Amino acid sequence: MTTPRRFEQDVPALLAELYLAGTPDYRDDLVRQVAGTRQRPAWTFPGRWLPVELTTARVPTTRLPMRQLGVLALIAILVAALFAAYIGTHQQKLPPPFGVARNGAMLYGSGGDIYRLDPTTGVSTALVTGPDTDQIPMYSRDGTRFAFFRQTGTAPTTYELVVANIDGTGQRVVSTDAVTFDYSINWSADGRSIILDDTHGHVTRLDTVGNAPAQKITYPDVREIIALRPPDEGELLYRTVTANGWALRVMDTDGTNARPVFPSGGSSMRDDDYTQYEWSPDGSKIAFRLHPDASDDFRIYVMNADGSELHRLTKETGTECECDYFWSPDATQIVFNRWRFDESTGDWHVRPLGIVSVDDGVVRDIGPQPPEQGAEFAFSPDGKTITWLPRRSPDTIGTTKDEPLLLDVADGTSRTINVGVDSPPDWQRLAQ
Amino acid sequence: MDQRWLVEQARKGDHDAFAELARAAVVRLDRAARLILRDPELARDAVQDGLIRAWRDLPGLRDPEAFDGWLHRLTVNACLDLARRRRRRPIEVELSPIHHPAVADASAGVARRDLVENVLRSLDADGRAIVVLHYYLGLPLTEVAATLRIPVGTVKSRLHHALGEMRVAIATDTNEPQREPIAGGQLA
Repeated sequence: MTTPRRFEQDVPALLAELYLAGTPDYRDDLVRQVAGTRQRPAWTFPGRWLPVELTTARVPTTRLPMRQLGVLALIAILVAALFAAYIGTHQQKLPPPFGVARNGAMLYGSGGDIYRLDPTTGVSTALVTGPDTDQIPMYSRDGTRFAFFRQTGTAPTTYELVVANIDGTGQRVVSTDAVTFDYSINWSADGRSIILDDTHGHVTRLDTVGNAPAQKITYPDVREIIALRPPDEGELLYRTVTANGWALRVMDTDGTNARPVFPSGGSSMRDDDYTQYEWSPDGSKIAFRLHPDASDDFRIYVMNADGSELHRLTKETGTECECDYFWSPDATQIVFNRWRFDESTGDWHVRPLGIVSVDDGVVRDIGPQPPEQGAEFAFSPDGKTITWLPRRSPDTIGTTKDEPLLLDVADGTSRTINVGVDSPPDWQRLAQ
Repeated sequence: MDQRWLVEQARKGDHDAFAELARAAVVRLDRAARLILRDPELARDAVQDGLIRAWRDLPGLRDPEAFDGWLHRLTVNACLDLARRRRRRPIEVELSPIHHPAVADASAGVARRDLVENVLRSLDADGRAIVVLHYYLGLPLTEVAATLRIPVGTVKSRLHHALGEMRVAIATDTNEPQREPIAGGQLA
């Protein structure tokens, strides 16, 4: 039966013929109307400043003295062996995967290599070196291993994910397909896997301990964003589409027991009107950014895990963008980037980071004035310090190195770590 | 002028560059929106919504080469938003006049277009969006899935369903016996 087949082939032409009217009569009106609309600044887009082009330039290095390095490596091996023997006789106590922990070392990427930094002494140690371009190290939640991105081939934005022991040894590739920064990538709470989330309902668990094949899970109702709920990651927060528009829901990780937490978006809510969902580290609250349509105000809202007690977090007035927030480990504070809109000039002006108490909504400035694009920042595991780095424009990534600041949360003072880094350093969690 | 350059200029706030991009795209977007929404006024609203959103959010577009697909996505999603908002109070939309090409022997073509028209009418807006994205805008299934943020399998099944409707319509049309005229000029 060939008729249907031919018909299918004709469908494109038939669709094109259905409406053969010329240029719509509203075209010029529409173009004029667009002219009256203001563009959103680039930094209001959550993914805009992800370091997707981080790898384009590998910083040239001078030839290393191999003999001396060999001796150093032998010494390092001896020290590691002694350390291992010490650890073997002392039961290692691990920190909880979420919440307050003791500060350990920091990891950072620089020039395509991975380094460990002692933040108290400022001494750096190379952990992963070689011809590969390696970057963005991430400690496991128990602080015993780390993962990092290794550029593959000549494609600048595809990577493999490598896991290594705390000293950089035992490297092995755990990703099975090319990884891009379009994924949300996190260590699981138990440290046994790394979770790749394409944020459209597809989750891949990569085994970091054994050799189990990658576990791929599809959640049919998930349209966007998956955030696993701390501390046991037994539930996930996601966004779906209903007849009334976007809705925020929670379900068990096996795909059952879905229930709404923010169903009141209504049909006027658009896909980017509420974004950047973050569970508090204790899993009791959810923060997200709400941007009512036709408004320039981007504000952080907080609610309980069941959707109750939804309220705007800060009490700031005027038109502002509160973006890129980060919960403190004890879930009592949130730090965020912010820009204020000047109605008289039509310009946005960056402000120092805001830090707000979740209980009373009072905001105070912390840290220096960032560049126009804002800052990269994170709380230390003990919650007493914030790492601060100027956010780089994509045009300068790979060519500019910055020295991170450590901001004291209590008094706002800062000190500089004198190492140039490619990306924000990651802080190791240790048992208290 | 090079589209990539225009996108880069528009991303920096050059409205003239964006106007040029919009003028080049508006016919295609208008037709796609009409096919999905079945209503010229709604289509106009959707195209307007898509283009305004494109202008507003253009600084967030990472890859200038992705502009066309991104604009399609914004417009199709604007169509679906409009369709969803009206789902609760269904209205019989007034179909715009179909502008058939002027050809001498158009009866077979008209019949087939009518079939397409009927099949489109039988689908919901999401189903029409899939058909339009794949068959009219020429997006591969994976990109249709990404645009609508649904699994590829769902796209395949919805498309399969739409084509099945077409097959049934063709079979019905082909196998239907000729009806005899009766007195008074009506068909039995």
